[in-house]
Amino acid sequence: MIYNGIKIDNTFAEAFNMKASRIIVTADNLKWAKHACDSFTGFATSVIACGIEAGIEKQLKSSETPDNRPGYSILLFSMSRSQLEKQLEVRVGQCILTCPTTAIFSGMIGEDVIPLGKNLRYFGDGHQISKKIQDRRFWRIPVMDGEFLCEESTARVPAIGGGNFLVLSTNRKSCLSACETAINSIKNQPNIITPFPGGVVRSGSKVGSKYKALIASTNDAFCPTLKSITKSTLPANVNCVMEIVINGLTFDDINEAIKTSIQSISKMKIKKDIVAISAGNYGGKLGQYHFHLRKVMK
Amino acid sequence: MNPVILKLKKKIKYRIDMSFLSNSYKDISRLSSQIISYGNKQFKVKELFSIKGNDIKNIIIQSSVDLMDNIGKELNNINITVHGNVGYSFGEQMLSGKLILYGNALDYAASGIKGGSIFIYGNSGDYTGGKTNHGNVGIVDGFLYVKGNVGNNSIERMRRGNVIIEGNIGDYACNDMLSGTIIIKGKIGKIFAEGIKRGTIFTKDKKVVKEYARSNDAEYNFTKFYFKEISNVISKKIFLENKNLIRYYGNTNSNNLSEVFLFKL
Repeated sequence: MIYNGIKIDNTFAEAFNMKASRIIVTADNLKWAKHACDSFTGFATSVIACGIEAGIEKQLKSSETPDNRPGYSILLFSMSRSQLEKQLEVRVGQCILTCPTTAIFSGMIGEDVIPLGKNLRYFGDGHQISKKIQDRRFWRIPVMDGEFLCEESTARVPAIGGGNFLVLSTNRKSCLSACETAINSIKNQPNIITPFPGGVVRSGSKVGSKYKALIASTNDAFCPTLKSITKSTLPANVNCVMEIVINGLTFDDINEAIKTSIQSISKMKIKKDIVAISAGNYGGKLGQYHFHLRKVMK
Repeated sequence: MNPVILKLKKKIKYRIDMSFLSNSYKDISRLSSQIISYGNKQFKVKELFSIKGNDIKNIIIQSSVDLMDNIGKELNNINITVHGNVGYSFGEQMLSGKLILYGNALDYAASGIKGGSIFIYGNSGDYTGGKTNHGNVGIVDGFLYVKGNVGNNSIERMRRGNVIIEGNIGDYACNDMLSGTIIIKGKIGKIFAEGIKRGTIFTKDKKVVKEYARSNDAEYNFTKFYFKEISNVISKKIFLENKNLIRYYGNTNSNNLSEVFLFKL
């Protein structure tokens, strides 16, 4: 299939069931809200070693936040409830509570509730104040710049993690440029995040390794430097591959994000350097969701 | 589904216990044939009231009078709107749901509520939001909004929840408060917040803070957020700004750990 001058491989991306939660971080200005969010979402690229995958979903205007201050919404994804709870608690405690002027609120409503400030309140050492407004409880924890306001709990919903596509290019410069354009095109799309640095992954992995201790290792079939010695799936003229991983709350959200990203690449001048768009999968046996690229681009 | 509309068939001269509205009925016919006392006789509801509609979770009482007591008493997951005045114990010990009153209420309105929201767009009598006339606990949780004035001994022993009073409040108000949040926009009577332990009070009355220690002028994210949330609940903007607030917190000579925000309107 050729989509607007770009070859779309007949393959699919394999994604997994995950659990997600949304939080809203506000501060006196966007600068400090961003500091808090960058810190919170740092080292949250993959559940393999980070516990959760997290990223900034979008920037919020003052009128869109609970306390009329600018901020960001963050989406967190995890494979298990316990990891999500643990990571949320430690990250809020170390990254949001510590950041000047910030406050934190739940960004979603649901029956499945997980703690947000419930245990964090003990930092107040008895001086914390609880406020209940309708069915929501908030904690005011005295800190050195005034008060840290946080909601007691947030909700957890089913979500999908690991939607992806690969950009196969003749050179690294064009490949990176295409990925940057793709990420920019979905920057403001709600309900999705791209958890890796800048949204792009260069170290795609396969399951297993020749070393017993490792559960994942480099995806040699897509490594251009190993073309001559491994069972490579890359065409001869491909010299660089980069992956964009997308986590989303629903199948449609990821579907839409993949489509928008590939469309944006197909509008670029450097598309002549893009050999094909492919996707990463594990043979279809591990993931519950399959994003067939040709169906997505129809 | 149309809301159930109750209207008195004729002018009444004896008190009616309206707590039967809080029962959960299977359908409108069960409500219509409920037996209630009036004077020294018993009647079916449909003999005293004209009844229209079928949604028993949404009830409207038209041309209510202050002889109708216990409207919304122990109400659970039902919405009642009342046009006219009501008698004693309006919404007493309510659990959940919504009560709206376009008129005045007699004593014990919203006393001992445990949840839900009560909106009184008129005045309210003594013991509003206070202890019930047979118990020793005040507002445990829930939301109370009074547009007009409130009588004596109100908001006593409040433990949790939110109260907004746009008018004046009488004597002996907010005594023995344990926690919760109260906004009083009008004047305050004698002996206010005696024996208070914790909680937050917004007022413009300086005499309230006489025995309090003035806190610093630090920024409070909470106030800005609280006004926005409350404004959403009452569908009306509360015109308080952070810059007009001075915080007083606690009294070192007693166990008082409550806070008072003095505001200028």
